[in-house]
Order: sequence, then C-alpha cells, then structure tokens
Amino acid sequence: MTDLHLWLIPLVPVAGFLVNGLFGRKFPKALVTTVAIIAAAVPMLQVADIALRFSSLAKPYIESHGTWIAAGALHANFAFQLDQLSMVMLCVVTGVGFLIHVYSIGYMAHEEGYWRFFAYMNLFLFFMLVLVLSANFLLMFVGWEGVGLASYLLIGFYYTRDSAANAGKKAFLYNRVGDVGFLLAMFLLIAHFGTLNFADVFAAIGANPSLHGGILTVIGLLLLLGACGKSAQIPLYVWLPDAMEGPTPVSALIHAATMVTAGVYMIARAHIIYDRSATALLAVAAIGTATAFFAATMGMMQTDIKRVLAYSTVSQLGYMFLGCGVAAYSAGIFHLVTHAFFKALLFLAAGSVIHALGGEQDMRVMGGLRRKIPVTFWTMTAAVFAISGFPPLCGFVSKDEILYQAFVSPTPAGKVLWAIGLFTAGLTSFYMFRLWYMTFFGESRAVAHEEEAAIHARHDTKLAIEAEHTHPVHESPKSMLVPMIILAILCVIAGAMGWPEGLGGNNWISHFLAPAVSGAHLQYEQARVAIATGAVHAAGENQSPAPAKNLEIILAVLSTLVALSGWYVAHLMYYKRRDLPARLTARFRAVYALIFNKYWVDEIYGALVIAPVLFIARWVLAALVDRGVIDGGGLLAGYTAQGFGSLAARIQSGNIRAYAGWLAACAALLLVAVYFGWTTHFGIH
Amino acid sequence: MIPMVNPALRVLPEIILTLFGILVMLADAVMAKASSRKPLGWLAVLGALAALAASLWQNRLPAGDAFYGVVRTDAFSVFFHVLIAGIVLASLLIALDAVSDTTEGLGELFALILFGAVGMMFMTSAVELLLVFIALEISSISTYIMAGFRRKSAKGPESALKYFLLGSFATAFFLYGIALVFGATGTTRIPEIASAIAAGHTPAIIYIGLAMLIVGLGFKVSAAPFHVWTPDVYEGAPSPVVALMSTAPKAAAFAVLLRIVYGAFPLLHDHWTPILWWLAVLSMTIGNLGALRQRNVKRLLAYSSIAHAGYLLVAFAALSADGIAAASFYAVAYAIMNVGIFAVISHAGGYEDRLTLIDDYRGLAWRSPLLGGVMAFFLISLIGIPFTGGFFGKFYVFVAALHSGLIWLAIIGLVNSGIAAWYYLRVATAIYSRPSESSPVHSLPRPSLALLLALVITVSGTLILGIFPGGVLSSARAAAATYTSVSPVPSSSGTSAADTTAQH
Amino acid sequence: MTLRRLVHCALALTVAFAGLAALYLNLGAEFAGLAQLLVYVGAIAILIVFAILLTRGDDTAESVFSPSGLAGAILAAAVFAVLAWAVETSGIVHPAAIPAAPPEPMRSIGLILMHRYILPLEVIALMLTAAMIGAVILALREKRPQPEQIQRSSAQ
Repeated sequence: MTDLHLWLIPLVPVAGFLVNGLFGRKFPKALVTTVAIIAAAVPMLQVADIALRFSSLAKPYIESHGTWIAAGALHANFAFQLDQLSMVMLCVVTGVGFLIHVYSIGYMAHEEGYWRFFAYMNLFLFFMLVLVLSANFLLMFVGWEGVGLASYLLIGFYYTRDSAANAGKKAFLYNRVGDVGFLLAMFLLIAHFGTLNFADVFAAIGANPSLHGGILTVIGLLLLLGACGKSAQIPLYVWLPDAMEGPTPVSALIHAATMVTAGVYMIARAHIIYDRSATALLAVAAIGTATAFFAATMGMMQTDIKRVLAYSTVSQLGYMFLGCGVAAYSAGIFHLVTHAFFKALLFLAAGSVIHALGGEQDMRVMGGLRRKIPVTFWTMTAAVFAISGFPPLCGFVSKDEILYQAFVSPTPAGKVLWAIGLFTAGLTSFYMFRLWYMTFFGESRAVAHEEEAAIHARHDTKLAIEAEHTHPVHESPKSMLVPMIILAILCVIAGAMGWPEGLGGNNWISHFLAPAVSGAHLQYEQARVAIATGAVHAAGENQSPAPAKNLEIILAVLSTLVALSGWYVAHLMYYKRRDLPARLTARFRAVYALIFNKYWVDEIYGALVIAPVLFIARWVLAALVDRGVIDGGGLLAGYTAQGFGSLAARIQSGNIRAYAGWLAACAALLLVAVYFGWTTHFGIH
Repeated sequence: MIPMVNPALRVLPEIILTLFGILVMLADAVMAKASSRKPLGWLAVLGALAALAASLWQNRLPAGDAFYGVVRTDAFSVFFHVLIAGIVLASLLIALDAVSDTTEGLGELFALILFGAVGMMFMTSAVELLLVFIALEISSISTYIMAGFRRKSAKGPESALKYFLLGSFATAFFLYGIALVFGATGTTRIPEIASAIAAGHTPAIIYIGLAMLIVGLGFKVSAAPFHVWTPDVYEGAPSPVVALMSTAPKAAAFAVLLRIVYGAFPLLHDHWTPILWWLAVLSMTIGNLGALRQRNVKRLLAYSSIAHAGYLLVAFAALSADGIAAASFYAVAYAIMNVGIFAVISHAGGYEDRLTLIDDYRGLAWRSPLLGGVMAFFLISLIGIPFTGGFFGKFYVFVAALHSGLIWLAIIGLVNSGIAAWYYLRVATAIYSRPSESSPVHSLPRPSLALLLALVITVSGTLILGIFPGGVLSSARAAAATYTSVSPVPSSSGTSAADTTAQH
Repeated sequence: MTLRRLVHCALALTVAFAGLAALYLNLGAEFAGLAQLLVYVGAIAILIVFAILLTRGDDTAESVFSPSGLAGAILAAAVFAVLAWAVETSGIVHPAAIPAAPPEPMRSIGLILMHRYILPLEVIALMLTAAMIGAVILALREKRPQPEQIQRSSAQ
C-alpha cells in the first residue's frame, strides 16, 4: 500500500469547521449545509476507497508527517496508523458520521445557530478521526480531549438553557477525571518504555516475555480509568444521561455511535498491555458487566425516550468492555460496530418521533404513533429487535459472541460474568420493548398532546422556534428518513459479518481483526490456548470442535429465549395489562425508589466529593486565605457581615498587617524548614 | 577564550528600552497638554519591537559575561528576554486599546512599562545578586505605581498601597537573604557562590539566606503561602497593567529563582527541593480551591495565576534539565494565554473595569463572537486542552516531574488541573449564555487595531505552542543546558558535601 | 510601633538610625557609619519629621497591645532567636572571606563602584527615576479628596 494520504481524512472536516466556523454566520443556509456535508462525505469516500484497496495488511501502515515534539526521552511524531482496527473504526466513524450529518439537515432545519451546529459537528469528526488514526498515545490523547471538547460544545448547544450548559460542564468534568488516568498512564509509559508510539511500546512489551502484571497492571488500570470517563462506565457514567440535553443527532453520533466507544477502541488498541495483566483485564470485564447490569436496571424506569436510550448506551458499552475484558477484543469491537448501527438508528428514530411531536420527549404522552409515522416505526422496530438480541439481526450476533466468549473464558469469573450478561440481555429486551410499546402502540395521545406541544417544547431539546409552529404529527423529511432506512438495512444484514462459526457462519470480522488485536503476540496465543482448553473443559468433553459448536448453539438458543421473555414481560405490562406497572410499583416501593432515583449516585457523588471540595473552598480558604488572615475574630466577623464586595472592610490597614503577619509566619516556617532540612525525611524524593 | 564582545551589546535590549522610556517621557513633557498621548504608546510599542529584535539578535552572541561579571548573556537570558519583550509588546497594545485619549498620566504609564521591562530583563541576565536586587526593585516599583494608576477608583490606590507595603516587606527578605549569603560565602556573584559552596563554605546562615531568597521570590511569583496580596491587587489594578504584572515580572522572578537555585545552590538541593515541593502543592491547591468560589473574574484569574505558579514550581522541584526546560516552556505558555485573556477582559471591561463579575460577562459571545470566542479559547488553554499551549505546558511539567520520580506531585497536579476546569468552565458558560437586556456587554467598544494585533499575537502564540511546540521547546532546552554545563546537577540520591555539613 | 503619635514614631526611627551608625563605626566601617549618620540621621529623619508636620497625619486610636501585636512580637522574637542561633553556630568569621579594611576605605569604595559595580550603579539611576515618577504621581493625587479616604474615615 503506497501513499494512502491518511492525513487528508481528518483534514477535510477541519477545513469544513474553519470555513463554517469563521464565515458561517454570514453564509446562506444552503451553503453551510453544502460545506458541512462535503466535509463529512469526502473522508467517507476516501475511507471507502482505502477499504476497497485494503486486502490484507500484515503490518500496520504508518504514515509519519515529521517530528511533532522531541524533548529528550520524549519523541512523538505527527503519525497516523492504519491497521485492521483503525480501518473498522474509520468505516464506522465516517459512515455513520456522514449519515447523521445528512439527517441533521432535516432535523436542525429550523434551529437557530445552524452554522454553529455544523461547524462543531465537523470539528467533532476531525478529532474523532485523529483519535482513531493516531499512531501514538499522545496524538490519540489530542483526539480524545478534542472529542470531549466538541461534545461539550454540542451538548451545550442550547446555551440559553442552564440545564444544557450544566450538562455540558458535567460531561466535561467527569471526563477530566478519566483524563487524569489517561495522562498518568502516558507518563508511566514514557518513564518505562521511553516512547508513546503504539508500535514501539507494544514491540518492547512483546520483546520481553517475562513482563507481567506490575507496571502493566498499573498502566492498564489507569487507561481503564480514562476509558471509563469517555465511555461512561462505572464509576464515571453519570454524565451520559445528562448529555441527552444536546440535540438528538449529537446524541446519535457522539453519545452513541462514536465518541463514547473511544474507550473500547483504546482498550482494544492497548490490548497487549491488558493481555499481560490478568488483574487489569478482569477489572475491565467486571466494570463492564456491572455497568451493563446497573445501567439496564436504570433504563427500565426512565420516561424520557432519550434517557432510556442513554442508559441503554451505557449498558451496551458495558457489554463491549465485557468482551474486551475476556480478551475477546474482536467481539468487543464487533459489538461496537453493530451498536453504532442500531443505537444510531434508535436515536435517529427517536429524534424523528420527537420531531414529529414538535419536541416532545416524554414517552408517557406518546402512543399510537405506529400508523402516523410508519417509516420511523419500521426502522425503529428493526433497531429494537436488533438491540434486544433477536436472530439474525446484528445485535444478536455481536452480543451473543461476547456472552459466548465470556462463558468460555478461562477466568474463574467467566461464568458469573456470562450469567449477569445474559440476565441483562433480558432486561435490555424488556426496556426496549417497553419503549416500543409506549411510543408506537396503544391509543394515540397525540391529539391532546398537540395543544401542549408549544408548552412542552420549551422544556425540551428542540428549541422554541420549532415549537412555535405547532403542526400535526407528521412524518419526517426525506433527509432524515433515508439515513434511517440505510441504518435499518445495516441492522438487518450486518450480523453476517460476524456470524459465528458454531452456527454455520465464518465469523469474518474476527478473522479480519485478528492481525490487529491478536495473533502475533506470544502471550495472547497462550491465552487463546487457555481459552480453548477452558471451553472444552467447561463443556466437559473431549478436545474436538463439535462440543464447542454445540455449546455455541445452546448458548445462542438460551439468549434468544431470554430476549423473548423480556419481550413477553414488556408485552404483558405495557400492551396487555397496562395497570400492571402501577401495581408492581406499589408493591415494590423501595426497589422502585432505589432504581427510579438511579441509586442516588449523583447525590452520593455530590455529598462525598463536590460538597467537601466546595466546603473547603468556601470556609477554610475564605476564612484563612482570602480575607485577612490572622487578625483576630472581630475583624473576620466584620468581613463576613459585610460580604464579598465590601472594599471598605478590606482596605483597613489591619488587613495589610494581617497579610504581613501571615507572610512573616510562613517565612519563619520556611526558614526553619530549609535550615533543618526536615522535609527531606518525608521521602519526597 | 571567549571572543571579546562589546559589553554594551550584552545589555542592548535594556539600553534600547531605557532610551525609548526616556524618549517617551521627554515627548510627554513637550507635547501640548490637551493632545492625545496615544502616539506615545505607539512609540513605546516601537521600543518594545526594537528590544524584541535586539533580544533575538543576542542569540548570535557567544555566551559570556560583561561588566566585570555582573551580567551574563546566554541561551537562558535570551529566552527570557524575548519572552519579556513579547509580553511588554502585547501589554502595550492592550493598554493602547483600553485607555482613552483623556486617561490621566498615559505618558508615565508607557514610560513605566518600559522601565519596568528593563528591570525584568536585568533580572534574567544578572548573575550578581546585587544587580538582581536592583533589577527586582525597578520591576517592583514600576508595578507598584502602575497598580495604583487608576486614581479615581477607590480600589486602585488601595491595592497599590497594599502591594507596595507587602512587596517591600518581601523585598527586605530578599535583601537580607543576599546579605546572609554574602556573609557565608564572601561573594554575591552566583557562580562564585556555587563554587564557595562546593568548597565547603556552608555555615548555618547560608540555609537561612537561601530560605529568605526563596521567600522574597515566592512573593514575587505569588506562590502560596506568599500569595495573599494577589487577588486584591489584581482586582484593583487596571486590566492592561494586570496583563503585564501577572506575567512578565513573574516570568522574570521565575528566571531569577532558576538562576539562584540551579546556578548558585545546586549542591544544597536537598534543602530547597522539598521547599519547592511544598510551595508547588500549596500553590496549586490554594489557587484552585480559592478560585472555585470567586465571582469576580479578575480575582478568579488571580487565584488561577497562583495555581499556575504552582504548576511551574512542580517543574522546579523536578531537579533536572528537563525540569528547567519545562519550567521555561510553561512560563511562555502561561504568559501568552494569560496576556491574551486579559486582552479580552481589558477591552470588554475597559480601563475602568465596567465588567467585574462573572455574571457581567454573560452573553459576551452573543454580543461579539470574536471576543467571546477568543476568551473561550484562552480559557480552554488555561484548562489545558490539546492544541493549545496550556496543554503542552502542563504535559512537559508533569513528564519532567515523573521522570524525577515525583509521582505524588504529578498526581496532585493532575487532580488540581481537573478541579481547575470547573471554574474556567463557569466563565466559559457565562460567555455563551444569552445576555439579559440590561447586560453591560451591550455597550462594548469597537475593537481597535491595537487590540486586534494583541489578539493575533497571543492567539497565534498559543496555537503554535499547542500544535508545533518544537521550536520553543528546543530553545527552552538550550536555555536549560546552560545550567548543566556550568554546574552539573547532582542526582537526587547522591550525597554531596552539603549534606555532610548540614548534619551537625 | 507602640507609640501612638506619628512624630514620636519618626523620632524613634531616628534613634534607630543613629544606633545603626554606631554599629557601623564599631565594626570599623567609618565611611558607612558617617554616611549613615549624615544622610539618614541628618537628612532623611528631618525630612520625615517635616513631612509629618506638614501633612498632619491622624493619630491612631488603637490600643497599643492588641493580641495580634503580641503574636507579632512573639513571632519576631522567634525569628530573631533562630537567626541569632544560626549566625552563632555558623562561626561566621572567615578570615579569608572578609578582607581587612583597606587603608583608604573611601577610595576603594569609589573604585569598586566604578569598576565592578558600575552597571548596578547605573541601573540604580533607572530605579530612582521610576521611583520619582511614582512619587510625583502620588503627590499629584494628594491634591484631590479621595473617595477611599472618605470611606476609610467612615469605616472607623
């Protein structure tokens, strides 16, 4: 492969961002649209071109554009890397990205700040492409932070609403926590391997077969912390549901299909580190499973259509972590791909519903929309069946692969993880069909709704402008429907990519990804052998392929049954006997309160982390540092009474004296410290 | 043998600035009373440009001393000379934008900026503590005066007085430190101090002297716990002056601190690294926590500058050439973004601070997308997001710290930079909120040419540092290399003569 | 510090200057001692007294021994103790480091100022210029009643 010009892929979106960002305000809408769509389409076409020429790549193709920074031990290039893993990610990002750009033309048509929206979308695309193309951790981190920034800008797109601005801020801050982990991991990599290039780090690990656990565990766990922030896993998941304040296409692109999967991508990218650390790997699996389960339970109680989908995203990301955590990286990535299809579609369809109802997001006032917006209904149905895990749709194939890999994984916890995963699959099926029934079935509440639309819309994502022309429930424009239809088709057929061998397929995607996420590394090979033997052992039979095949069929049937039962329960509760939910709620009040309030996690964080920090900031510092330091209680009381702005209080010379006294006291302390050098004995160095 | 260089060339930027300062004052005196003083500002800008060119030109000089070993031009001094000249240039442009034709004492203001810059430049090139002290005084005195320049406001003179009294107090520490060091070593030349220490002249008072030097400089860079003056003074001083005083004198003081601890006291590192460690931790923590609750933007940025001083001190504590380079790089990154954000504040708030609270900035981006966008950009850089100078600054600092095994310091720093995002975002969110009808942002003046120039300088500087940090970084490394050649920094675990003498 | 009247404070300062001069003379630094006596005790102290008399500063009504003053005194005593101890233990006298007083102190001081310290000497001129500008600006301000002075008096 010669000269793929990978640099062009991210360059075109950033050009789109600059053009629209700088001049978009004065452009007519059509021009803004053209620029943005071209900026999204060109990378897609280029990726398609590369994909067609991409036959088999034994070694990653690395394209370097000169030294970026060289500072002693630290040397990083502007380098892009193409291998099977980034190829798959590129296809997802540019493909889904393009479809959502097209969808946005219709969805955002009436919005104020149209140009700003598309400029940010292009900016996001740029950073996401940098993230997946980078050949070293540093450039990856640039993309990593960049998508966070773009997400912040897009969530807070409706700046006038405080809730949106706060949600953007919250997302940003929770991601900062994860970034601390990512940065520390990078620093440790520099310290131990002297490089941040993927190829060099992984080669160094590969060349040293005795390197196990220890530092790699630490790095793996720190990277996992970063991934938890970006991919909304426990304990950092709370920002994602709030992020639904952003426009629906943003939720589809950033908070479902691409950005939030960056953590999964990163773990797969760094899999060599995880392969050498059973602890880190188990942590990935455990966090993934726990998140999948808890998020699914929270999803069952939500009434806002987008929040249901948000919790479902968190839950599905948990599955991907589970896949990676049992060293089945290709399964995790495959689920990432299928999830990108069905979850993007779910969001787009939800957006279409919201659009049809003039901004309504509350499922309790929806219903009976099946006949009014049939295209939306049918595409949504495909996605619901896919995510719930009905064969042969794509969600079934990828989720089943993960569960199968968990079941056969050699870790002792494998069976437990599998069981929880399977149960969660039932929950998933339940809450998705709940959404499906509440939105599209039953009697139509839309007539009553239309009158209220204007009032509701003010509180909801779609801005006032949209609400002010109250229109009857209507099907969305073609620019919105076509992307949905394409995604629906993908939902149906994409499963073929990874149809398991046990069920007569050839699991093409896992073979395709194999060079990038497995194979060449000794340790991993051993793990594979262990998995294989473990699987056989689990089945309790001889070493022949047949039992594994049988096992796969049994597990597939089992998970289909679980999905069916989830559907049945939802059918019972939300279609046949609508009084049931209320009665169950009354019966299990405590459980209901616990889940409905999302386990009070936000409140717990508030009480345990934010409140103490603010408390310290407010009282200790205000008393000690900001206003006059030592000069007795009377003066302090005077300040408190007079409040912040009172200069008269502060300009008293007593204040200066207090400052001087504070300086002198600290200086005295410092003199003693330097003289006796006692701080050295604290073991700082 | 170093080839002879005319000594005057070694202080060329200082001479140029002094001459332009005198020129500005003379012109001020002969100009008609009623006429606008703004041309004087442009004259000063010209002087700053000439000094910048001279500083860059000094790079061609072979490293060496002049005036009987009192000043030294090397990669280090040139690095900071260029930085200071650049900051002065930008600050002058900001001042030109903020003041009106009738603002009082403009001629003096511009002259003082130039004179102050001379002091700051001497601080970075002096290798004789007496000259360091005099230079420090020049820089301090001019900033004291400028801090109180807004005579009509109640806060101005008050903050200047406070700054003056506390500053003199701190300078006294510095002077006393020099005296004690002289008493211990019999010299005030930095290289000679190092050799005296190497020869075993380490009586008890040298530690006290070192501590006093650190106290004096700690005050100047507003490192906690010597930071108490900062919020009050920033709040009271005119914004263009804050743009200057929050950056250039601090960069100069950091340069002095580098010269002193690495140039004069490398062998006593066991005594000063723990101190700087604690100063760094305190500065970062108090700065960030203090900023959390602020409602006044300038006070918030004052605390933020304390926190940034803390990040910079992290690099000091690293005790390696990487640390010096990281500190120098961070000084540049911080200076550019801070000057940039004060350019916006100074324009939006004006000389008289029409906008003070965060809420006053609500809707700035709606009223003026340019100003709002630029301000948000600098906030992003202050947070430390990639593609801005702030990111690489922090990145290098923490890499250097970890390389030296300062894991806890790096972790504390990273956690702190996480907290910092909170209050920067508060400002950013306000900027992008819809303004109320009565919001003061509706009466923004039109950006002048001077402001646009200042914004172009700072925005492009921040972007270049964020995308192509290589150039500045290699200069910073060259600056750092001047130390390892003069006096090799011993490894932190090595025992030195200083340790054994310190035991008794 | 403990005196209430500003004039008394100024006079006390003069005594301190004189004491310092005596210290110089005692150490054998005749030039520095005499200069101290002439310039500080003679000129500067008188200037300060005049300035106080002309501007009629307010006398403070604060109590002399406030708790903070006491704390300050203790702090100062502690710092002094540490310093004194440090100086004492240092065995400060390095015969090599401190040369015997040259026979012509004024001449050698002049020479050293014109050679080794020529640049600092010149730069001091700049410092004085800056200080002078500041003094002029401060003096100009005195002409007008200041809002913060009003505030200050009302606050007390």
